[in-house]
Amino acid sequence: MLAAVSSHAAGAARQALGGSLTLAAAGLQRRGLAASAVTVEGDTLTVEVNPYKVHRIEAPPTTVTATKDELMSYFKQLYRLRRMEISADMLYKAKAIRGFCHLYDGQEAVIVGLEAALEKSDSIITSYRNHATHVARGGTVAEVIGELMGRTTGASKGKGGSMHMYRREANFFGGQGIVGAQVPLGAGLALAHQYSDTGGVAVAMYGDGAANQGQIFESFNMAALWDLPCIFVCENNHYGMGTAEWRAAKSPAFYTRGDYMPGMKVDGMDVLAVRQAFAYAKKYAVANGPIVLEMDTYRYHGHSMSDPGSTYRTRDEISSIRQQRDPVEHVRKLLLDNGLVEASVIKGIEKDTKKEIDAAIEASKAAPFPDMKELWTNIYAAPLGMQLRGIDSTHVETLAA
Amino acid sequence: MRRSLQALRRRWIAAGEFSQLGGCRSLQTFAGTALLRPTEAASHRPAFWAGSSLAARCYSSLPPTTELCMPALSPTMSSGNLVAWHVKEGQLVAPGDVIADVETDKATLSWENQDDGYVAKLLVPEGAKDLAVGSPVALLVEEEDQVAAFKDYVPTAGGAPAAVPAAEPEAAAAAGAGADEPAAAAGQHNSRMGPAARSLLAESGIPAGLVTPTGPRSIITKGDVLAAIAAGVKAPAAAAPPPPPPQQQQKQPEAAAPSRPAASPPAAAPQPAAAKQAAAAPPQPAPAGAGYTDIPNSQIRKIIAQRLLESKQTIPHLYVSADVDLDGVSALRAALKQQGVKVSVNDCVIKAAALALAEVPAANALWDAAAEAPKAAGGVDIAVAVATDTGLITPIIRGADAKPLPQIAAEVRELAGRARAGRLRPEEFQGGSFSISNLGMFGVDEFSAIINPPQACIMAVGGSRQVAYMKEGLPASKAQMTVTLSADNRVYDGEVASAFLSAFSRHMGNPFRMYG
Repeated sequence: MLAAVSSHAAGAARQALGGSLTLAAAGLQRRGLAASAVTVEGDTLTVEVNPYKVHRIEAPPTTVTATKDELMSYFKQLYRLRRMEISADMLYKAKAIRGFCHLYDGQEAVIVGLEAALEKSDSIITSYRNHATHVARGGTVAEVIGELMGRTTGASKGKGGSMHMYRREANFFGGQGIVGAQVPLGAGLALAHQYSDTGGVAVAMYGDGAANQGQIFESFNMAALWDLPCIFVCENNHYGMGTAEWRAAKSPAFYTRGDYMPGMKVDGMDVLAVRQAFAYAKKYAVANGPIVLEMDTYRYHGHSMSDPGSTYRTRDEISSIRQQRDPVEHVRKLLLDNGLVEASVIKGIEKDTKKEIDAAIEASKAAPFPDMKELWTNIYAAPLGMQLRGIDSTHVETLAA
Repeated sequence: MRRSLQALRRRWIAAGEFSQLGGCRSLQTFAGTALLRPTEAASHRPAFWAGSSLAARCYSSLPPTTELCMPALSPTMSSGNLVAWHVKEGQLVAPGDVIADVETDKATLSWENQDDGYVAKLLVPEGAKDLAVGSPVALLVEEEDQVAAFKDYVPTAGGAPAAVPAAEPEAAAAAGAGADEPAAAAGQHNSRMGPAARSLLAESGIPAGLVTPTGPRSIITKGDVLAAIAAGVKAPAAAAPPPPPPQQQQKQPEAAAPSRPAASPPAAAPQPAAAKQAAAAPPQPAPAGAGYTDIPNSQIRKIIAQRLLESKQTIPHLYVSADVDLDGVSALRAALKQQGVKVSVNDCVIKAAALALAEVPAANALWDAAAEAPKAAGGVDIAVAVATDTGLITPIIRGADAKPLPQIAAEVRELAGRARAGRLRPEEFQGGSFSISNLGMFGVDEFSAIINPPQACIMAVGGSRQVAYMKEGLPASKAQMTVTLSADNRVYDGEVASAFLSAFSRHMGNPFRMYG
């Protein structure tokens, strides 16, 4: 009884959590980017990526080839996305951006690898963490920042905000605010591809927090039944809002959650591994049917700008990922360490990108807010004589024509 | 400097590349540009900046920097205090490093850096208060060797002469223009006045000398008097109290705001009362012999002050005292000490109060303002008052009636320590169903405290004293202390308060039942 002078209940719980955090961190750290096996031939780099974990499918080869131009374009895009998200953070802290803001920094390799493997004719739908997806699908940084600041020059004319960017001409179907709601829509996009025989795939992206939702498994079922060309991508950044994956999911091996569907776990911080996986998955999906990809990735910021991101994970974990697995750093090192480009060229790209972002911010600050009359546009206005049924079919209301 | 930076930046973006102005490099801001005050709309006087010659001015030989400005770490934050720096000048920072602790309107949070670079200059010292969101607080440079250039760099307040005079002449001109008219009008009006103007003047009490005449031959018209009333011109009788500061204002030559002393009485116009004008002149050197020091009120103290006033004014306080014997508690403490467990009198008070609240549920209630009725608190959560440097804070012991005494003691020690360090989490000091404030260790016999709404009671515990009494016909002494309940009379009536106090006394007198 006297031994009850022991740790405070919360303290004990925190100890247990800390222990688990270090375990989880160790698991994350184990998959450091493999930088050892690299061979260079002229302008082409051959590199070994981290092995894929597979479920009901053969793994693609882990030897990936990339040319210097490809790597340069990846680096430019990765750096651009990184700086864009950082400037969104600073603008938010300066109250130039308000409301929701979910940042993608740390996860850039997923979208850049995806775009490297797929075409703009393939459809993609994702969650609210969509700033990078918009740019990767052909949008400009100015559109994203303008939209975040609510100006008419934004991607959705300033009426959508951070979570609702959309680019129909590039088959980017948003930008969805409700967690996990986009996955059934993604299956529908795949049905459209199959129905119209386009030969393309639909990519439905969701996070580890959404991965336990019911409608996702319903989508899996229907996609598998009808052999839809759908790639389900779980961007596993290991934390829901603040809940670690091992506390949320009985089986955190999200690539196996498709059960009868094949799946693959990919090192999501390595753009080359991601590209390889998507190319492989597209071939499979078009020929056979749906497949689940799990991207092992990480977000440096909290869930959103309201979340400091340090209450459910240690700063050490975040900085160790930054040091060991940062996607931008990885490509920079591939370029520099193998003598493909000079350091000055990289610095030049960085400077130009910063200028581009600066210009985008200035342009957005100077852009106007939407006029009041925009409240009445882009909304469904004409009822067109629609009929609404009441509780039973005896009660019908006809709206004005 | 802010405006000049904006002007500079417009030039660069127009030029499309960094231009070396006259051989010296100008200050470049990266996303520091984004950190300007968000209230500046894009259309805010662009012509002024674009056409000004400020852009031609540049700081000689300063490398390009990234400005770090005070961040809004919560959506409701408009200014914050910089509690502590975590970096030093010359230190390399990487994305994700914590630069500083920032005290917001709610809590002290860590501010993480997003940029690579070396810290060139910390523009504000530790402990700087009320920094507006968006004001620059530090500078980063890209190369380590560029840090030395900022050794003697003076931040914006002193080193922005072009911006301040540009702003000042405007402000001075505006004030001067406002001041000139009444000054010119003073004593220069025609004594002829229409009856309407005359009666309006009499009604409003404005002296004719303060009204600007616009009629022919400087006649004051009715419209002039109406305009003067609308502008809020007050009679100089209102400017009389307090006389010394305004008069001294006029006597002392002002370097900072030349137009202000001359405009002091008429410039009472833009301000509701001249007393405010006097109060607005604190930067003045105080009149000789009035030595005092202003101690600024911290954020916590301001909020405490507000809440205390609200509580005292809106809650009907009922005060009930009782003397409680302390001998049993002393015996318990001695016994525990022998076993190596340290328990203070306050811990026993907490436990006894918790048990009493469990026994008298009507005493463990809160006042529900919305329903205008008492409502039972969920559990026995006792808030213990801890005095810290920044103010009084009350960490909460939750479920105190079920916790064993040594655990309460340990919790109180830990929470008090963290409270003094300012590291309590919000859920640890918000809530609670009952408060205890103990001033016994400061030599106070008896006092009454102010209730913390929405709680319904606070117990003020005094110090122990030896009291003589007759025990079996022989004089003896015992230790006693006085506790005073301040209770919300809408929730507690006399019966409930005395039931609680008698239960409390009983538990204090029977301490070995309290333990465990």
